[in-house]
Amino acid sequence: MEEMIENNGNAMPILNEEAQESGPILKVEHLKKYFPIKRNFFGKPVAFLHAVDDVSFSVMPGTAIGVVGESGCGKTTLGRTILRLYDVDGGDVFFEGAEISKLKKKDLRKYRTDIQLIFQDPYSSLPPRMTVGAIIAEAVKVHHIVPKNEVHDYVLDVMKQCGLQPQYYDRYPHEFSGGQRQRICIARALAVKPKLVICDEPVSALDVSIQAQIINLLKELQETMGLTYVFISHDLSVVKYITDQIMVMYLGNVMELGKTEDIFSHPLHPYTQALFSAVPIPDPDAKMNRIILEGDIPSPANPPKGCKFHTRCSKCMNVCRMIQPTYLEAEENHFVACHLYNEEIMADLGKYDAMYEEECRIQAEKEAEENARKHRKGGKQQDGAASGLPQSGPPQDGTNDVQDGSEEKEEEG
Amino acid sequence: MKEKDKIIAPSVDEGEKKDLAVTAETSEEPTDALKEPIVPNAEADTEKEERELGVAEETYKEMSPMRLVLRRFFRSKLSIVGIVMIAALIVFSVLGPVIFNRWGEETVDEGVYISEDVNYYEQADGNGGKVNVTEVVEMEDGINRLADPSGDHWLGTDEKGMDVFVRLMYGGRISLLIGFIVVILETILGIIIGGLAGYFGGWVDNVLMRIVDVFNCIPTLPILFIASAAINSWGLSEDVNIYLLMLFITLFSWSGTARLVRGQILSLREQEYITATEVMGFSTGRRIFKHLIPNVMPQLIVSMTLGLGSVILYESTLSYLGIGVQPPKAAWGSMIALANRPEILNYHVNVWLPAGLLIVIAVLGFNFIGDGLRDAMDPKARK
Amino acid sequence: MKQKYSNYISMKESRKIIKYNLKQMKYYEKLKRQKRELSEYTAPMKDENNLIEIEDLETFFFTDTGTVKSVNGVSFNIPKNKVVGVVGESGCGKSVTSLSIMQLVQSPQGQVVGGQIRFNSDQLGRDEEGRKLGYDIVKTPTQQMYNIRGKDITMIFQEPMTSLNPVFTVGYQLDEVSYLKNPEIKKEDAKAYSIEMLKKVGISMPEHCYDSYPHELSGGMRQRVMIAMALAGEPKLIIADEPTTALDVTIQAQILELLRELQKQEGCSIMLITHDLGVIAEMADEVVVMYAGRVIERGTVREIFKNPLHPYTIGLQKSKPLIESDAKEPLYSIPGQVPNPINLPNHCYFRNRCSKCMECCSGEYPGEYKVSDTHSVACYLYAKE
Repeated sequence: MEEMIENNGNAMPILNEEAQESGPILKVEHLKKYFPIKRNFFGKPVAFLHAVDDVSFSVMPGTAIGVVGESGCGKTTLGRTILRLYDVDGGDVFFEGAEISKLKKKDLRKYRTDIQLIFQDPYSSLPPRMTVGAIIAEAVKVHHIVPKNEVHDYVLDVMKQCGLQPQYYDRYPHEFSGGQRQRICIARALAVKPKLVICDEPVSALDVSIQAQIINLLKELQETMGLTYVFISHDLSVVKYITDQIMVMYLGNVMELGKTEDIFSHPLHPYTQALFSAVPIPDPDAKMNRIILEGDIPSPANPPKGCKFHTRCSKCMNVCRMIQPTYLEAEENHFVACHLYNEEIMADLGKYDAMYEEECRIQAEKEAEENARKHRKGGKQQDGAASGLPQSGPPQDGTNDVQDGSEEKEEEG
Repeated sequence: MKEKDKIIAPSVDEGEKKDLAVTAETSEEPTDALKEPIVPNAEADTEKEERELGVAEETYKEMSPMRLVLRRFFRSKLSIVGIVMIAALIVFSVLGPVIFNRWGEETVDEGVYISEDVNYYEQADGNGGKVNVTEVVEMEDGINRLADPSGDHWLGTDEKGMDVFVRLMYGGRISLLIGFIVVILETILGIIIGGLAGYFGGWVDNVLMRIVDVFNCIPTLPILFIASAAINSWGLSEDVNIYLLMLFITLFSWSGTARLVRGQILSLREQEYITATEVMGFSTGRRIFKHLIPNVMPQLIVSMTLGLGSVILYESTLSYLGIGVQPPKAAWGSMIALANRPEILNYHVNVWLPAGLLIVIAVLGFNFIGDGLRDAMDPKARK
Repeated sequence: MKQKYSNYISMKESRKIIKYNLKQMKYYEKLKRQKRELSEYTAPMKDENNLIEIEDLETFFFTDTGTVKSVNGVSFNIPKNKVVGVVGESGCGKSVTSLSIMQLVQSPQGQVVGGQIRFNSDQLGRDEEGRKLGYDIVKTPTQQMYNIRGKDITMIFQEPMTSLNPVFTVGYQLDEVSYLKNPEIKKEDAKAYSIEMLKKVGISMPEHCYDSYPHELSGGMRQRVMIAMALAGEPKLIIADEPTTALDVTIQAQILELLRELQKQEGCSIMLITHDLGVIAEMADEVVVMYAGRVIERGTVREIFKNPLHPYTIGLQKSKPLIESDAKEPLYSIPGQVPNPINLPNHCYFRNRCSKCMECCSGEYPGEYKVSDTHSVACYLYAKE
């Protein structure tokens, strides 16, 4: 696993030469966030949910990256881990060149105003017992963004920028519709003059006509304030209007990363292709030759071995069932994690097919043995089943993945 | 796409159309006449138009959040009944003794001589016959015991000759005072312990909640018996005894509040607006006291109101058992305890029944208010 | 500062509203409890091929801030064996319309105040003039409604997470539908039927699913179970209220495909309520566009998408972000907000947001103007004068 990372870790999409000189505003390297899902008697976690598993990307100032994926793909966790709402379990996050992933919470506070978050649900993200003005002004006062006597005017100014009327200052959030509330959320986030804003599905709870307003507002604000966005969404079509790069995630892994135009014009990963074709098109004459993915999204607590997408992939090969694909640059600045684009692997598929059959055979033998042993024990004593349990339980899943990956890598080389 | 465009703007060319969209975007919801009109070609009655648009926006009115809660609270008849009951009780016990100052709390009625025992019996006279004698025997100490209700004593007197009506008022003062102080103390304690446990979680939570568990396991009544005996043996003044009693009741009843606060804070922490405070980089103190506690308050107020009723009940029970407020101080519980004597239970209902009724009224009243508040403040009922 | 509470209701107004609400609610509740003869709640259908005819339906909610006219004179038909899409933004009354059809509007605050919902039932026969009779659901007594609900008309809800009872197995809940239909059915038959239903909605291991609890299933599976439950009653109409909104796109595609296939196979009608124009375009035969409690445009799916007439419909379609559109252009957006449905004045509700507002728009609310046999729109732009 580690080797793999070394091989392609430094390959980051570069947007333009100028921006490269100043360096990316946010650089995420091999970020990992595991949640314990099972603990032993002493409270020591024995099984993990790999919410974010080895994610790397970087964002240039003034640009936007879209993080796209279905539920359980870890996109929200990614956003919150960058914000350090969760502790980082592995990898680094660099903000303006400074590493913030290992800072203590206390030292982190000075970065808080620089990175802001806009939530999905405009109903639960505003405190119900504060007026709109107080909500926006609070952080401004706490962080002394402007002198005390200018706070009121400053807040009104921010509200105006976000399309809120001054008379809303003294009203409470419950009086507003979803779109207005989202404007309040945006105003609250922008009032502290952030440099990077993480938008966690900011429009998916809104109506279509309001969605367009908010997207336009965010885009306008990006231009006027020079903001950088990490735009998390499940909807590819929304992301398109606001981002320069897109990262597609599935079960905690990055499937594809590239410039927005590249991804839209020729998506490489079968998952991205399926995502595109699944979006319903508001045209009754549109052709229906869509790729409909079979089955459900596997539980992130128990992801499939090999390529995590192989259970639903229409182009699944035997090699996909064994080896997690490496992350490679298929085209310039267009990264994909799929064996289809790995020439080395595609060159001798036969070898992997044989390997897979061999593995299947061993697996089947093991199972048969296991069953036989269970039968024998079961005949004698009731606890036969209990002794069989620890071997088949989920605890090893997480560690197995990593080990398998490195072993196979060695075999490959 | 072309087809659509044709339909949208048959007369407007591309450039104008874009303009139109932009003005519309920036001048959302025109409310005052200063803003530009949405529609550029409707120059004619611009002002009139604007005014109407303004009116259109204000066709409805909202309810202020406070009104919203009050509205829901007063919708239920029971909460109004509860308010009336408690208000009457407070007036009765706080203002009552000021107006009815003829008898004090511990004044024994010995001034007026009313009752006399008349004995009829036959006595042998000197001549061997019998004479009917009527003998009037005066009460020895001249105390007006167990009097029936009259103009002097509206609810009669108890066995020590103290006015029942006035003692009810003083008893109410003690009950309400104990109730309020205990509830406030236990709420403060509960907020601190529950708040710490809920906010910090982890081992802090574990330790604090185990302490709460321990306090929940202790059998309260026996401990209070022992404590009361101990307090009495210290020979402190009666007033101090009462305060000590409050402390003891608090000590055994805060655990429920702590649990409530902890649970509320745990669920509030999942709310996105609390996450937002962390993103904003607010200090821990600000997050707890400015954001978490105010949002726990509604539930706390409900539990405090309901708690008032149960504390009053508690105090009455203790007084009834003789370990609460000590006579001659008046307390509703100890007044009911007089009914232990069969003749008082049977023939002097006026001595103990009113105290019982007042306890019922107080507890019911607080419960009604609490229920009403719970319905009014339930966030789920919020639209 | 004086302006601070100008938008709040005063005590006096509030009292007036409450008094009015109480009176209204009492009146309609009394009306509901009245005993009615069969002839009083049947009405002749205008067209035999319609399954449901909704005419001038008015459903109001009497709230503390005023009367909310959630459905304000809505008329449309659901033909047999067709998918009718109802599209509109939140609060436009599309869900309330469906609840009115089911007689499930939350009373006493919510009341169906006027209009007719005629449900074409085969049990009623014809009247003297030979027109087919149908139930008028607005007046049908609750007892009679039990025979329609769950059997002739079923519903699929938005949240597959909360619309199944977590303490019973999927099989138990499915069997219940069979018992509802035929109380004498044997246990084994009910189970066999339920498993058949699960197979029908594309669940690969129906026996396993039959014995599992809702929390063991994923969102997509649960929605499939909900569809199986809806189908088990062999309904004539399925009301699908945002059936895919809570699902992921790839799962949504599966469910839509399934719904489309089942509709053809079973020959029932579907009333599909959604805010997603893409879903409507793919699924519906006819489309009803609602705004602030009124139908503003209706027609066949091709008419609505190829030749939208009402400025709102046009705006809605333009503001939807599309995959194939040009991202360099800013997204078109309709300015302003959806009006609060309390005390709406009697003029076009879209007037404030409309880019083609004319002088006559300040007048009365526009009537429906027919553009073709199937296509009508409520906008003065298309008034024939």
